[in-house]
Amino acid sequence: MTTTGCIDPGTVTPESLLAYVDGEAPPDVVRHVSLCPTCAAEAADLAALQRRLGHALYRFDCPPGQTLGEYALDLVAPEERTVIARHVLDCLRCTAELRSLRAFLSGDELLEVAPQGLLAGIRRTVATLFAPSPSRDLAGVALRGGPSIAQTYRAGELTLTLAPGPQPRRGRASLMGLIVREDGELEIPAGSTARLLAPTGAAESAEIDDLGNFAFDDLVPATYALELQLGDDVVVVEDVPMAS
Amino acid sequence: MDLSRTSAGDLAAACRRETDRFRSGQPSADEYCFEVFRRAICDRDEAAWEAVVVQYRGVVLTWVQRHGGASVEDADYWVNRTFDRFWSAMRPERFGLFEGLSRVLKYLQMCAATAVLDELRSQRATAHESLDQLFGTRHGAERESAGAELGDPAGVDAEASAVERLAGQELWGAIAAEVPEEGERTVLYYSFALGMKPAEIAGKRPDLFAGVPDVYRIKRNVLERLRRSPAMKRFAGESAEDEAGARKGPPTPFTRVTQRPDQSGGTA
Repeated sequence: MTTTGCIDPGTVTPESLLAYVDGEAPPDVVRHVSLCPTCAAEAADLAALQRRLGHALYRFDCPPGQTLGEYALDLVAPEERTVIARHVLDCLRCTAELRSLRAFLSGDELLEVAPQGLLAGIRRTVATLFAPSPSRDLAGVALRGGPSIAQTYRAGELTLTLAPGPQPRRGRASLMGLIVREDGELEIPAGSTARLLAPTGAAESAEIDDLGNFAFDDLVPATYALELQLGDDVVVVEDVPMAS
Repeated sequence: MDLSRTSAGDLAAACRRETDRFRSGQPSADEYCFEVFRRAICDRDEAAWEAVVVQYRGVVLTWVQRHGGASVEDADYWVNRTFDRFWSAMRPERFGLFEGLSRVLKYLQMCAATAVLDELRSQRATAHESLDQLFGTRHGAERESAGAELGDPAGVDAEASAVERLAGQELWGAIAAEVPEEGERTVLYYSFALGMKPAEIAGKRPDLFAGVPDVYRIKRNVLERLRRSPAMKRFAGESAEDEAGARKGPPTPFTRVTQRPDQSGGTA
């Protein structure tokens, strides 16, 4: 630290002292601060300033919970929806809250097994992660490309394998999926679709072919929810993390 | 049956009966319950509102108990908060947005979730230093005053939360005046409004920052400047009393969703 009074001037830069305050400093900086009263005092001042700023600015422009809830229910005006979506993309806390809200608002029997209307007869199943599987499991089936990590989910008698698709553009992600049945008797109803729902509410759809394949490309990296509409069955995978 | 001529008692009984049929998997009709809600919301009919609370209290209790963020021993408190919030947010002019009973109930469920969510936010915010320590007692007094005027727990929380956001916006206004450069402002915003670490910031905005050391350098410079800034000292001190209340900063480079004019009542 350059401050007068440091026991070893030049050893610790102002930036590394800030890293110390953030808990990310290398061991030699930690050791120095533990020995140097001047740098320790400077670190304490910086920590206090950061704590104050962190409190005063804490989520000062996050949408209130009620607004986020209305956003999750698609009840906000389009222009506000865009503003919230942009914020959610930046804000990890709002992203987590929105995901939690959506999970909480889905799967309620009282509301979802509606006696009449569009939901009549729909069976909704939440797929559970079965095991990560090596990419060779995908060899020989209809998936192409070179996925490196695959995840296997179970939903009733269906097994769903998800894997990164081949070579997305830089900063983007892609996804390939394969649905199989335990007994090999898979029949994909015509018009079956896979929908990826972004935390922002944006949705992408892809057709599921008669072999149970579907694919998405050019996706913004995020954690999505995946819905497979297979005739009267809806299979949901709640968290599909997608990295670039 | 002409529902508009049906008594509140008969409607409530029909709603109860149809709900029981629904729960037992039999064909059921939802128009009775929907009409109870309509009268409660659109006509501000107290008997209908009472019927709503009686009919759906158990359902709301189940939701609250299922929500991981609410303590079970305070379940009654959260149930009341849910109905308060629903009542405040569901204005007559908005009822037309809800096409049927399931949509209305989904909104009620959302109110249960967001009542808990806002409380969790508030708890996390107060885990830091209190605003009063930072800015004297001004904001604390505003919070108390807001609560006294509203006289109900949900309103107090919504208003107190709005006051805290306003304080944050005031501070951001002062910061924006001191820190016009986009990179510096971005570091401050991501660091303190969104709670991101320098590595996350560098990863998020490679267009602005060359790497993690660059973020640390900028952060250190801007904190140093803020620490010495007369405007910041004035903001934090008692002498800011006469001007801070009216000061509003320019928009952040991000969003200003909290500044919608219809937000002050805690409704959306």
